[in-house]
Amino acid sequence: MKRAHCLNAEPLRGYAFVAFLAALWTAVCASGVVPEGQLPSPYEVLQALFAEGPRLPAQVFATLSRTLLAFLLGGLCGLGLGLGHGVFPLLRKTTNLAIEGLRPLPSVALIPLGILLYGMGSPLNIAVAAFACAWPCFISARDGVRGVNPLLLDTARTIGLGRAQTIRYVILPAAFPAMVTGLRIALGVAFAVEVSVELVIPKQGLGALASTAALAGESGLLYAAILATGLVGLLLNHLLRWATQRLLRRYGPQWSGGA
Amino acid sequence: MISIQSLSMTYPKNGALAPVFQDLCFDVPDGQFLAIVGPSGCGKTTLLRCLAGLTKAASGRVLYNGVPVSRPSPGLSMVFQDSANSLFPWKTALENVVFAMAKGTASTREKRETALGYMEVVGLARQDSCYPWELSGGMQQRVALARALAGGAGTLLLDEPFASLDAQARAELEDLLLAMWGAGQRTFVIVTHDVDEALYLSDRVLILGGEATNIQGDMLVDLPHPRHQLTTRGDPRFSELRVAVHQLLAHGAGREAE
Repeated sequence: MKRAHCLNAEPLRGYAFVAFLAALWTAVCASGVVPEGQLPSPYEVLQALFAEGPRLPAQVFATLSRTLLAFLLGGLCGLGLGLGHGVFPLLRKTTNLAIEGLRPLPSVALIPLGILLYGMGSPLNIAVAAFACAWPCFISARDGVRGVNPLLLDTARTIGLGRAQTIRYVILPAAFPAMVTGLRIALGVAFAVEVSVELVIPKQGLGALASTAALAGESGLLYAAILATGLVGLLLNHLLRWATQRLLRRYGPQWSGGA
Repeated sequence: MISIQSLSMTYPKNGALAPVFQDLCFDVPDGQFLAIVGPSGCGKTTLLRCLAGLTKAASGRVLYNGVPVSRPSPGLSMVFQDSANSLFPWKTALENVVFAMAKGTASTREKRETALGYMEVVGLARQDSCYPWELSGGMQQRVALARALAGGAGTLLLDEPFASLDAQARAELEDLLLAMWGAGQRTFVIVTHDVDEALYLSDRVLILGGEATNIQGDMLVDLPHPRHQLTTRGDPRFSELRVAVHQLLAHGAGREAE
């Protein structure tokens, strides 16, 4: 099977272009066009990154662990609620208005409420990010159930399956690819919201590192923090692509092959 | 035996109920190969769904061996036109066939053996571990046929099963159907808009048509068995029957134009 998303499979010219950008960056810094302190050279950024080195893993761990916890919590709630909505029309009719009212609320708007409820610790970050990433899961699970091909349901009836068996053996597996897609989006959302909360309340994590560096005027460190955040995001994305491909292999290229 | 007793179906149109088909009465004796032909939109598929117990008719009833059909029963199995979407994409071909026996009491191993047997019947013994999306349209329809057989149904209801296949695959599957029918005491009811296919396969053709669909004709197909794609279709009797069916279809359409 083709490993389309393996890093080494990326064409060489992609890396060459990144190297070109780095060279351009260095050249711009050396030319003195940009005022001192606004754009550190790549060398300074790397220097800052290494100087921060020993403390960096702790920051990455803080961001990652809270992202993943929020993803688990929000993902499970979202999927559960979405499946419930898809399968039980009564639940949908009862709770739909409340949910549709709550859903458009920007998650960061919940930060003040979170501070009131949880104080400024990890539970706040986790709660806000979980809230944000529950929605893509909710939508994809709900629509995944609704979108199950009616012929499959007819087939289940022809075979003689009851309601519970149809849900267990037909509806859940049929909605599975949509649910995985929702989870994929949700992890990205959880990461983004987690970093935003860290920026607002800079106590711990990569967002906090960037925020404090900016306030202290340490431009090298700021760029290093942004770079590290980007790399962690890239890593998460690749991990997810790999997991999605494995999970959805049996559903065919339509689900497992795409980018 | 399937017995259709004054079966009618309606659908909502402009706030009122318009008839799809009206007062259909006919019997399908055990072991018969019945073809139902009619123009598209005449309610052929709906009729077949009523026989399968998947759709409830507006009035009238369907009896299967004397028992009213109100829900899908294990005796009647439906093969859908769109086999690509009626197979479970996350199951291999063999698993799809095994799944038809989900309600059976046999052991997993026995079910597997049975399923493999039916895969062989439909000529897919070597494709058992393929996923449906790895198979051609014709092969997918073969899996659907194997699944219907595995369900243990005495009656197969086929809804335009070969409509989306190319001519070659279609001819092969027609012959497979005839072989399946010849091999056992199964009853086949096929719905199609293709008159030639209906005549080639069946020993009785029911022609539907008219504004509110009813039976335009009920003809016995007295072509000899075994049938052969070239000789049967070249038989002068085949042409005669063909003309007769087309005349009845035109008659049904003509009344609609009045």
